[in-house]
Amino acid sequence: MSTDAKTLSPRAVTWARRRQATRRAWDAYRVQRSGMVGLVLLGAIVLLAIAAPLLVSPADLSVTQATGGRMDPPSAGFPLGTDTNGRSVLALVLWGSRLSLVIGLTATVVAIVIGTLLGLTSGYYGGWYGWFTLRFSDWFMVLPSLVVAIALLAVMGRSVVTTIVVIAIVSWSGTTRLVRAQTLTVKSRPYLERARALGAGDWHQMTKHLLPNVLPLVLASATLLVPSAILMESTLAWLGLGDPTVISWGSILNEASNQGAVSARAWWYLLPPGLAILLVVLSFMMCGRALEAVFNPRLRGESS
Amino acid sequence: MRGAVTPMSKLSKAWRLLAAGATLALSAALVAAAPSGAAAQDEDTDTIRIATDQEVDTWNPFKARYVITYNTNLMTYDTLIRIGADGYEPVPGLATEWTESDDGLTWTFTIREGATWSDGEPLTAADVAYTYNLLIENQAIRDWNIDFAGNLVSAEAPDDTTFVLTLKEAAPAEVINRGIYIVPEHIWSTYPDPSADDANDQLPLVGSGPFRVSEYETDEFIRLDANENYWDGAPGFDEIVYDYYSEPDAAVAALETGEVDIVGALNPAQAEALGEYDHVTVNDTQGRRYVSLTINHGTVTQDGEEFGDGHPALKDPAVRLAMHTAIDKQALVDTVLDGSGTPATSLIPAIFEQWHWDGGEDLVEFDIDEANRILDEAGYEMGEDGIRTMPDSDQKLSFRFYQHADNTDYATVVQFVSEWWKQIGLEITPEPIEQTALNDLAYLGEFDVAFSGWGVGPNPTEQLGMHTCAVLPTLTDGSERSSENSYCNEEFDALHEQQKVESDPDARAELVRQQQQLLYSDNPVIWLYYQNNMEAYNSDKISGMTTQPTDGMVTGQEGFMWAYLTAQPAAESDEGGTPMWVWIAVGAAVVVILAAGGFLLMRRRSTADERE
Repeated sequence: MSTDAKTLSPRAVTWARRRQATRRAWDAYRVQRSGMVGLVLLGAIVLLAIAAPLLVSPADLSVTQATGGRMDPPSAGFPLGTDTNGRSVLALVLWGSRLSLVIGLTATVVAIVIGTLLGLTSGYYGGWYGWFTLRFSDWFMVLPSLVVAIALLAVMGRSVVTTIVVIAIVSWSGTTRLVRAQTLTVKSRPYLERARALGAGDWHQMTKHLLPNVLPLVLASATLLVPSAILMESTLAWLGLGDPTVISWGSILNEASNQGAVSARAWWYLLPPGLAILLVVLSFMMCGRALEAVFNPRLRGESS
Repeated sequence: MRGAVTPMSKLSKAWRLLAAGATLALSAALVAAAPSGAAAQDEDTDTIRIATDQEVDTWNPFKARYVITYNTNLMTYDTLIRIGADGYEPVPGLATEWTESDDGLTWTFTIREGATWSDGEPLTAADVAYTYNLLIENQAIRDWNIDFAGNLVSAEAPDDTTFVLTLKEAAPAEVINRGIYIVPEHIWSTYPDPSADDANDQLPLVGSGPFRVSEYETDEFIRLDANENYWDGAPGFDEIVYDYYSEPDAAVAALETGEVDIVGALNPAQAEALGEYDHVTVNDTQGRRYVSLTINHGTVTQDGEEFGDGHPALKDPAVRLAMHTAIDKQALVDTVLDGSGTPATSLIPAIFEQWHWDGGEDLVEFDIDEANRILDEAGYEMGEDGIRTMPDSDQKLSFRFYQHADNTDYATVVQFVSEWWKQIGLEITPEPIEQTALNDLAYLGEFDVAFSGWGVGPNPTEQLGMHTCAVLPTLTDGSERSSENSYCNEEFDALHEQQKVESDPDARAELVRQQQQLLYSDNPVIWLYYQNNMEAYNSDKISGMTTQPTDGMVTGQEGFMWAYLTAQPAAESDEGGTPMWVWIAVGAAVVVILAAGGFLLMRRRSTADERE
């Protein structure tokens, strides 16, 4: 080990160390059963979403070419029954996974980027800027997110992009606090003082030392943010605030309840999108919790 | 608290959970098993409960615009002439007979003797004259009803049973069909400002109709008491209560369990579900409503100034015809309405047989190839991307398609129509917009295609009048909203003036049909379908409701609430108990709670050593 390190370049050393850290994290993750179950579930769902264009043809989603009857119960031709326009609910749910995942992931990335930027700079610079960003994020934290989202969508109009923006706006603030706290602890460590003494600038300190140290935490919190973003998207779509021209799980539920699926007892129309949301949220939560335990050993249970 | 041993802290978590669960289950059971219609129903009072979700705009009958207050006003007040239940023909109301002078300018009504106000005062021709004079003299009320009130000159009551109305221009259909609610002079003359929205807020309202509004709680209920001394006979029921349900499915469930008696505006799935109950009668009949697509064929002011930003291609009648040809209205009726409707041709729905025009030989039939041929011939060439361009430029035939964001039927129609129009080389960008915002854009002319829809009354002048040149806006700011679709055609206007004064019904109907034919061939609008009126009521409780027209609707009546006056309590049956599923649900809940409790107990035992 030590002889190897001597012959390697500094860059190679860094990479070797990173590889090692990753392996250690993976080992800690692997032993958590719920985390693995979540990962497998998630993998399957993502695969299905990616493969959806192969499984579902445009004709299956076309209302003018639909072959089924109105809200037909499950049959051999339509394993999950049909919707009001005679389209297969299975095809709709499969197709809906794409939008739900895309919106959930994109909104999370946007929220995480905003949150990390503000949290990192706030913790690093401190002073009045730090105070201001902290209060700013506090203000967003106490706003009732659903109400704000509904109001924003009403003003900005309904489309996929506005939905993503709105979800990001109401969910970035938690990350800011998390990142800021972690930045403060890392910042006070001696090696950063050393780096400063050696002439490291703000940019160097933030990108080379602080960011790598907060990233694992950000990753864990992002994994927990995705399910809440997906839930938010479904909620908004179910309330009729989504883009009705695209198919998402929330919009399927919205159409089902508007077309009287509850009165018609058409469970096959309501349950599949609902269960799909449950499954995705559950698997993200399982992965997120496991990741959290990996990066925060205090959360690790003894048995796992 | 810390360290102090209180009885509470000794109580284990499991037990507290169990207790909480049991309390919940018990209260749920009690709520579910409580007699339905918990609002302390007196056994002797016969009540019709109608589900509604619309708030009350105002109790001032001159300013009310909502359907809910239209209904309560029709029951609280009388009009001189009613709209009949058989075929929307005029029948006597407060006036027993009426005559028109030869020039059509002077109308003499004989007012019924023996009608009284709900406070016991007699109703005379003086009250009628007072009411019509409010329309003439009170500036705010006059402006609010200007289309009718603007034509009135004087209203007089020479004696207690005679009322004379003088007009500026002859307008027989208007006088007969315009139901003016007759209000009591001895009450209204004490109001400081009869035009105020809250002028008439003292409940119970004083009126002469078969019922009167006696109690109102926002978002809870509206109660109307029967008028036992009504001149047309006392109603069969003692009261009518409008109960508020914010969710349509909740209202449907309430009808299933008997908590509500009449539910209107059903969708096909709800109607089908309700049809399976023995005590429910579902009434699926022709409606008075059309749904249409307005095409921005160029918005102009009266002076000919163009405004708005509609696509130039839409000014070409060929493009509009192609779009029309590429819509399968029957398919829309079959899927969107599940067959509960009729494909539309023009703006007077088929329910008004005497005025409706069925398209005749001009009827546009669905044919994608024909639509493509029309566009090819007109010079709109298909590009490589499958989208046509203007003959004289590279501009694509790309249209914005605005729909009401809260209407799921429209969202489905948009999917269908977009798919068809894509096949004829049009690029469609659908956009759901809030109703108010959509109206704003429509009147500003800033749209290409937009949804529209009206509930049509028995007098066709109202709808046709919105398509005359006279109502085009004078300003371009979208504030004048009398014109529908910016339509203006001299020939149409000439026919309109003729039909307004034509007193022979058949001759008038012919003129009205010609007007519709013109509208149809000019194609500023594509009428999609006439929606059926789907409603359901508890036939174990209510019988004998008169529909309008014959074999028609119960809710959504025009000109008089025939159904509620004629409704009779049905012979008592053994309904009203707690439905079986409630008991099953309660039983299941108890079992679950017990099982959970047992589980928690067992867990508690097994982990007893680890705790504390």
